[in-house]
Amino acid sequence: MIVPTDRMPEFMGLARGVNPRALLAGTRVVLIGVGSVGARAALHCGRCGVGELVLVDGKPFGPNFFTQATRGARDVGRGKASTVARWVRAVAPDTTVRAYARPIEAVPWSALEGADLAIASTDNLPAEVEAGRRFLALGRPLVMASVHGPSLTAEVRTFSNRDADRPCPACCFTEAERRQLDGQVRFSCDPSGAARARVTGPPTASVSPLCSIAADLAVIELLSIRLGLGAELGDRVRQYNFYTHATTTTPLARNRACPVEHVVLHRAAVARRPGDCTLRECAAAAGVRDDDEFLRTTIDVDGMVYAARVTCLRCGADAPHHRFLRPGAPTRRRCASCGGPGLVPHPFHTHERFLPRRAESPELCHVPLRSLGATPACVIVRGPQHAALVTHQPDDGGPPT
Amino acid sequence: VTTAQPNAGLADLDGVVLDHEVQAQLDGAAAMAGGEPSWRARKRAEAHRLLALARIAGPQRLAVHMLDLADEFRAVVRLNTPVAMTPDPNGALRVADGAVLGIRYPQQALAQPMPGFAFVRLLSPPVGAWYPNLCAEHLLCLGASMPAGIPVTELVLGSWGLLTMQSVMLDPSDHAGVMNADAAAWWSEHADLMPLTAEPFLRPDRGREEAGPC
Repeated sequence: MIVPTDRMPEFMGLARGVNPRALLAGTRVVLIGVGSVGARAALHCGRCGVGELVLVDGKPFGPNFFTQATRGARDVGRGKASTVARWVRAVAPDTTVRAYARPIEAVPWSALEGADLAIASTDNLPAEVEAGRRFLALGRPLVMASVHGPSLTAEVRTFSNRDADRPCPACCFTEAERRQLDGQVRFSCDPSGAARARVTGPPTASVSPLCSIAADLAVIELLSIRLGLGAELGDRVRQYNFYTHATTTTPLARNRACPVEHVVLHRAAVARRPGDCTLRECAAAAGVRDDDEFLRTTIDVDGMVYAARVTCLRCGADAPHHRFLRPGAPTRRRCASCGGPGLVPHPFHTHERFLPRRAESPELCHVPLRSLGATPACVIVRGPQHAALVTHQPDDGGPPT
Repeated sequence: VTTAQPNAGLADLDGVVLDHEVQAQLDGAAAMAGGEPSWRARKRAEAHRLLALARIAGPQRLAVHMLDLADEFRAVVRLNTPVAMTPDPNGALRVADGAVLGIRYPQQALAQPMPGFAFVRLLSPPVGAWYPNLCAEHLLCLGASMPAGIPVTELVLGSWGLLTMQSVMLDPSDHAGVMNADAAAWWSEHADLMPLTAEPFLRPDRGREEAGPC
């Protein structure tokens, strides 16, 4: 058996009593995009002893050997997330790695909510915006790594996400960038839940070492944030240009016209699993005690949609349903009008968020979520005064079962 | 009963004054609007423009039946347009009169491009509509990608173009594809039937007649 050598340095300025290895072993990092930059960042995280990695990337490796860290043709066509997970496990067997071969938009909140920090390295606008929105909501720092090949520039943007008045990635887009990216994103006409944004513009042109440097910088930033080294965590972009060897740091500020929701969720707990709680109980745990405020809340049941009505594709009849479903899941109901085999969630009456005000039957708010078809790991409550992510915390304060 | 503002055009929607009842409908929906102030303001502005579009187009073209701004923007509108229906056994096209559309506009559509089928659902006729760009769930596909922040009124105008077949995508080999290949093939062979009407959405003679509240 090979015992790895521990060469963790004694960092200057490290707070007294902090054991960096132990701290990193208890750290969970989400990597959004594990291509040319993100795969290298994932490997660095593993080598540094990060305890848990969540890899998110819905795409397979392409034949891009110029920048990607693939092992050659054998990796082409393999899913990036699962392949990089395998690489990390090979160099860091103590690191727990979970791979989500899907876009960030389709990853449940429960997979992200325990994260200490995220690194995003993607050239996909919707993914950047969604990563920014989610980690702002979770109040966890987000580091975005990117490159500009023609000018030999590596860039790391850091979003502290300390409060709702902090910038998100969408705050930084100029109108011209928005228009440019509007023109580059295309979708397939497939509404079966498989619609994926496809960037049709030219791929990011760079060279392998520049991608590597961006990954290095992102993980160094991660270590600085997590171990409290160097400058205080802030909202900034750092650019390293290898023509001039100049380093530029520019502060980032919130754009008041940013169209993305700027909400930071506080953490709330229920003593039972959310599936055994009612929507009203979840809202109460979030701080919503007042019935008037409850009627103005919206509630996300993680990873599920609320189908108020279902419809028959054969005869067009629709009927009440009032159940939570996984997106794209069948209802297992037959049509009462024509006997058709598959009622599907009505596209106009199926919602990502449940609104108590809109509930045709108020009793729905007072029955366990399980009886409405939902057994979520977490529930997100947003009201005029309260916004919280509600998870299970047993009464004894121990870890959720 | 009021008279539609005859000179108002698509560029003037923000300035259109709504009827008292319609204004009350807008105020009621806005009072229940959720989300951050900027999103609430945007939803209200979109709702005003939609109601203004109905006002200048007149009820013989567009009526707003429902507005819900509580979470995402939701509206149900009636669009008075011919609707192509599945051909009869002899192969003759049937045409229904009028469509009811359900429009959904999530906040994320402000910040990022969305698929063309993300916004509009044909609620009525409930089955049998015969379009290349209409899927089995009756979602209208308005294009390969809808730009971030597209106005709701553009979705209505896009739906008009699609349902009247003034704008149509028939080529299944296009990367965006078609949603009903049988309909695309049928329409390719019956191109002479397109469009179902050549009328523009805003009729030139609008405003010269009495219009009811939208």
